[in-house]
Amino acid sequence: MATVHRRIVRALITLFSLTFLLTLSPFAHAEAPAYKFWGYYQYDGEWTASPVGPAESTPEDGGIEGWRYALNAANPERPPRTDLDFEEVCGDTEAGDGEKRLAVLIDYGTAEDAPNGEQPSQPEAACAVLPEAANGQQVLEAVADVRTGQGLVCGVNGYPASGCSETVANADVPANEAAVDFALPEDAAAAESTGSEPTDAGAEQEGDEGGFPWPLAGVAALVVVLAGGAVLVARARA
Amino acid sequence: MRPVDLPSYSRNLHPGAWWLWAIGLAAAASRTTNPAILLIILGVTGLVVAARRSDAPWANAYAAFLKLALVVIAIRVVLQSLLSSQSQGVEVLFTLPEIPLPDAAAGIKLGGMVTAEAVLRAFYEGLQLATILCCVGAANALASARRLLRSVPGALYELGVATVVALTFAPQLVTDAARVRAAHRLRGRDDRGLRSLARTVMPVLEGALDRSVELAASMDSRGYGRTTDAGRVSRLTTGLLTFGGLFGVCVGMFGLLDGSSPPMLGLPSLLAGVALSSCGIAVGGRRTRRTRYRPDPWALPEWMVSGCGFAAAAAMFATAAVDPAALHLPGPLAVPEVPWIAVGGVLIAALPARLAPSPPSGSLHRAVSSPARSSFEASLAADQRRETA
Repeated sequence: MATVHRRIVRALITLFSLTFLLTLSPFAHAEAPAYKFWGYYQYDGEWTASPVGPAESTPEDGGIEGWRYALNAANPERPPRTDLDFEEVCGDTEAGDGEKRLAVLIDYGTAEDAPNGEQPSQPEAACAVLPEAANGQQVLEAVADVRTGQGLVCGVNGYPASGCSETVANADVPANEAAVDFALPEDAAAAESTGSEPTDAGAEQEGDEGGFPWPLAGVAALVVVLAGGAVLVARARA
Repeated sequence: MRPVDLPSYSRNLHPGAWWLWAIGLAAAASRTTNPAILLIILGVTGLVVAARRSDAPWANAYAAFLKLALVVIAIRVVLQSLLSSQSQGVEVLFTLPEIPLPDAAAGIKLGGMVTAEAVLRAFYEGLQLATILCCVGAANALASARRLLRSVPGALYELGVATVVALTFAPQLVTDAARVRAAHRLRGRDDRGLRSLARTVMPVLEGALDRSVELAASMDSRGYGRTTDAGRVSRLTTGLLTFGGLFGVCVGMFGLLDGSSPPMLGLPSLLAGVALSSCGIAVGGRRTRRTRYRPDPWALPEWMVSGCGFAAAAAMFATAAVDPAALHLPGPLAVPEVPWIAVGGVLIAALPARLAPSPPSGSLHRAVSSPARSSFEASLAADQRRETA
């Protein structure tokens, strides 16, 4: 009886050590997978990846916040490709009492980093004016549409259109990247004034659909018809 | 054309067809957080259930699932807007008094600012889960679990019988417990508290045991205990193939419903699972020579109903490939786009409200739904004819 017991224990130990070795050896030397995601950086003489999430950091007045969509291996960091300073972005903006100004630099990254078939738009810079207590995520939301998922920033201004972070098995991360042009707030204002009429950001979205969101009204009507139909049919059968 | 091919011929649709339709809709809902599409899916399930549910007791399942869905949305909105600092935006709706928390509780807050972004985000995410729940609820309301189990393949026959017995007797436990408690009350005993619970459990268990022994005897006398002369190897291969296949099907379903899982997890493992389990079922089916008593036919309406569910899923997957931006809002305050291909696919899934045959109503149904036990015994007697060997 004792020998059987011992044999079982030995077999189990062998099994465990084998699994342990198997899980360690091939993958320890393999390249670590990298992820494509929106990285959150702060500028303080040089770009550093924020040690905390955007919702936990409270940037101070005059700070520069950076967002970069890229294939980030752990090393090197890939911050926004720019050396714009605060005055270039926020120079013309003023903050009221109890408010702060922050430069937000959004870099959509390179075409190689783009997720399945999407085209990154031109990087842009914007100045956010918010109450003192606002956190990093609110700073971003003040200047861009933010899509979140499970507490992460998944998409900025609709890029990428879906998904949250993409895993890439064999990452080939370029090192030193050259600076690129950022669309400054003045550029955007200039582009808008050359258009037919100046519109503010809120009206712009509805402007695409001719003022009134007809497709949405159609959907609302459809839902009312479906629900009403369900109630009528249920009544008739009762 | 057989009469069962006509939608006007009143009968119960094959439960598998309803489940396929519901799974198609649920897969469609799982691929989008666009509230416009989700609301249409909700409306479609409601309409089809209202039009084609039977008078059976389980047909009320949809209302229960709808209530559960509303609770899910409410909990999500309250928790996320009051307790999470991760999803707050800049459009402040109102500010509550805030209780400061230590730094260790990062991402959590009590009270404070409540912004439109946080509320809308929570609502949209909750709406997706709620819609998937309602799809499952619709399948539960439209398809009878007992009929579905009756159509399990021969290899899983014993399992099917055991589940049917369990399903039949589960409601009886509730009745039993109520009866025992009423008896306690009549004797002037307290019917609340832990001790009375202990007093109730014993007689209920005893009754259940009694009943199962009785049922086993009656099944045995009708030839249910017959053992088939299958070899150990054949039994083992059948079991391994079938359960491996079913496991693959489960993994595949998970992969299909969860958009963020790797693509290998979805369709490939679903197909592999289906192939494996059909092998197992074919191997196992060879040794059982059981015929089915009045099997549910799989005729034209079944094809059409499951095809409608497939159309909804296909339209949504096509939209996800062509125009993924339309399925997810760029931000919570953005005006939702309306991708008409996806909406069209979902509307096709509303057609079973007319295409499916209307369920028979009246005496036949009441006989099925009335005292579960007697009907089960009736079906035992009827099933007797299957034992031809």
